[in-house]
Amino acid sequence: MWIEQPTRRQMLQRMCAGFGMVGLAGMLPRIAAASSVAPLAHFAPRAKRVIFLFMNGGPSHVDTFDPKPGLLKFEGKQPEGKKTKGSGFMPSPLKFNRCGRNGIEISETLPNIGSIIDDICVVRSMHTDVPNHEPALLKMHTGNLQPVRPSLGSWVLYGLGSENENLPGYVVLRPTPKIVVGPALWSNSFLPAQYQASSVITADMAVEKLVANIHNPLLSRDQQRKQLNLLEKMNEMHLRQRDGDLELEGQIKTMETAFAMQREAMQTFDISRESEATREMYGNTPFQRSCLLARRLVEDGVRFVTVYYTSQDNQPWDTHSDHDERHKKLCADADRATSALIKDLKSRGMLDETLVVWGGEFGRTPYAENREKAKVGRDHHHTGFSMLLAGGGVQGGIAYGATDELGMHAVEKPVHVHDLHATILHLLGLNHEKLTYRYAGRDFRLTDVYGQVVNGVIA
Amino acid sequence: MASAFVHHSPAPPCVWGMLMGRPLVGTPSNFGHSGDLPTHPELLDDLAVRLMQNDWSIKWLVREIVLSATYGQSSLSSARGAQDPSNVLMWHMNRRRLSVEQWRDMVLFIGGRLDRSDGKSLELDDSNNFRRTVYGRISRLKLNDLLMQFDYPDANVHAEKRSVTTTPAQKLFMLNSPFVIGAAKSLVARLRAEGIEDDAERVKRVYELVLSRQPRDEEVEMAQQFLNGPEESGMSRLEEFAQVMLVCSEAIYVD
Repeated sequence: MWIEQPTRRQMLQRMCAGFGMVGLAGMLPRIAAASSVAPLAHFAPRAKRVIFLFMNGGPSHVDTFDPKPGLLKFEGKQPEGKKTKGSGFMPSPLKFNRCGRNGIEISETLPNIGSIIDDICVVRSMHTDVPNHEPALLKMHTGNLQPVRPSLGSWVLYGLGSENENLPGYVVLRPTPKIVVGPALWSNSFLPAQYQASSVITADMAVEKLVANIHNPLLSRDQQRKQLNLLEKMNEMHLRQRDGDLELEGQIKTMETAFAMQREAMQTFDISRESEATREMYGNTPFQRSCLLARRLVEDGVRFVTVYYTSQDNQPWDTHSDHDERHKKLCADADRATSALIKDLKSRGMLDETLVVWGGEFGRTPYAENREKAKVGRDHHHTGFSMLLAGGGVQGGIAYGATDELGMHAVEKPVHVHDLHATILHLLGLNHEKLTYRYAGRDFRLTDVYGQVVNGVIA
Repeated sequence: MASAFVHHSPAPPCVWGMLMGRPLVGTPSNFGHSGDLPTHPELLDDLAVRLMQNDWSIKWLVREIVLSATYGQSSLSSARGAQDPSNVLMWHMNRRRLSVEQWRDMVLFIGGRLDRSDGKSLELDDSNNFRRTVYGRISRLKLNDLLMQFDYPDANVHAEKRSVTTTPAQKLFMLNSPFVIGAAKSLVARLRAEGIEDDAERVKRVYELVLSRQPRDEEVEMAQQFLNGPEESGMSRLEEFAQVMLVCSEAIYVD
């Protein structure tokens, strides 16, 4: 029970308390439980931060990164052991081009990603547990099929803390409020509240719409400075009468941080400060603008950013009907922003330390779903699909693992969601087996009792 | 015998924790093998047994605790406690920060706007919602931003206690939110309604209302100096002063 007091210096360092930093009270022995002390990185990290580009609905692997000429031979045949009312196996109508030094085949709908494939690792052997959106989304975000567990981003923040005390450590960007499952995808759950995500709706990119209370509607900066001078004098007096209590000192410092942050956040969140050329490179759709904002955020020290690909349709990549047409449009949008982001990070020398992850909750069936012949769609598919990893210590220009001849199942070097999580944590310098939090009487992990680091994707 | 009650009643350590700033058991939802041991086992047994004898009345329990000498202690600590800096033994009162619910209620009350009615929950973001914060709507799907900002736990999982953070986002709310600006304006409106014209008297009244004490001379002087500064647009000096009072350390901590 007798817990040693942290030194004054340790306390102040950790307390100056950004959005995502350990709050002072969380550190005071009278409140802190041993379990809430964030462990430091377990070993030297390759990546310092993560941008997860999430394709809600599940993109079709056989139309993007996993060409299956074998489907031609089986076209129209029903998959074994599946009850479908569709028209059987359905080859992709898209042409696949050999890209990069290893000639990795990428769909013609993704020419820009293809052009930088030497910076990207294509994982073709992903698999997850369930072919339904809700559990699969939760699995990909929290490692658990059911709500509510801490999300990957919260675990990362818990493990590493924030890089910038003036900005939140974990930011979720989504063009629309509507999103399947909702905030349980970025929940801190039982992890302390300082590891929560700040969720930002990016429909309107005006900074005051993105960040709540970022400036005072009535006072000028000078006027507010004078007001804060009075507040500070009063708080200093209060502090002196209480022997310089560290928690009270933290209140004063945090107020100053907030004042400074108004300016900093105004800048960080303002993509109009980007050059015309940069904005043009990313494009101007909601997802594309969000990707540009994501880069600005990580540049200024946000640890974990997720950009969701959502629209009023909810989960755009869920192409149950009219698959071929919709898929092309989605690819054009995502291709431009994804490649722009990776190129941009690289040209700024940030790609080495920034891990970019691209993918959805699962893939789509290599066979057709029952729909009118002309507007045929693909259904949910969880036993084999593709994801991309780039930067952050990942080996570029390789395709890792494989599905079978028809793209049905991950058969070669399969990578489960738990393995992906273990690998992401590993790249960040965290051992997924040691990153634990004690709750309800036992230690929890992101990867539960599973997960193997996929060494084959690491440079 | 008594430990059996303890195992079945987390009430005493929880209520104690809410009032004293530290629960009697560090893991108030876990009295099992893997939980912490109570800091004061005999006290816990005593409270548990007498809680039962008093028909499990939480009201009784609260009264019993707040009338104790321990609760009546000052929170101003001294060198005397060097052996127990964490105050495990409760040799002084813990300084407690108001929860966001307590603070919001206080601010509404001081501005004369607190609506004590009950009924169906209301959105806290509703600018016409002046009811006690405890009646704010809690959505499990999307937790209210204000509550989330101030450490309200995820409403989908059990939380034995709230973490307490101090973040710039909270301070931005104090500095810039329409709620706080509205509260400052309503406090000034109240002074006007009370017919207080003199600056020094206004300062005294604000201290009285917000901090429940009279200001010291230097405090009156400091405030007057600020009030005498040039008026600018947007908020009056008096409104700015009122805002400072509502968000200052003394207002958000109970000593």
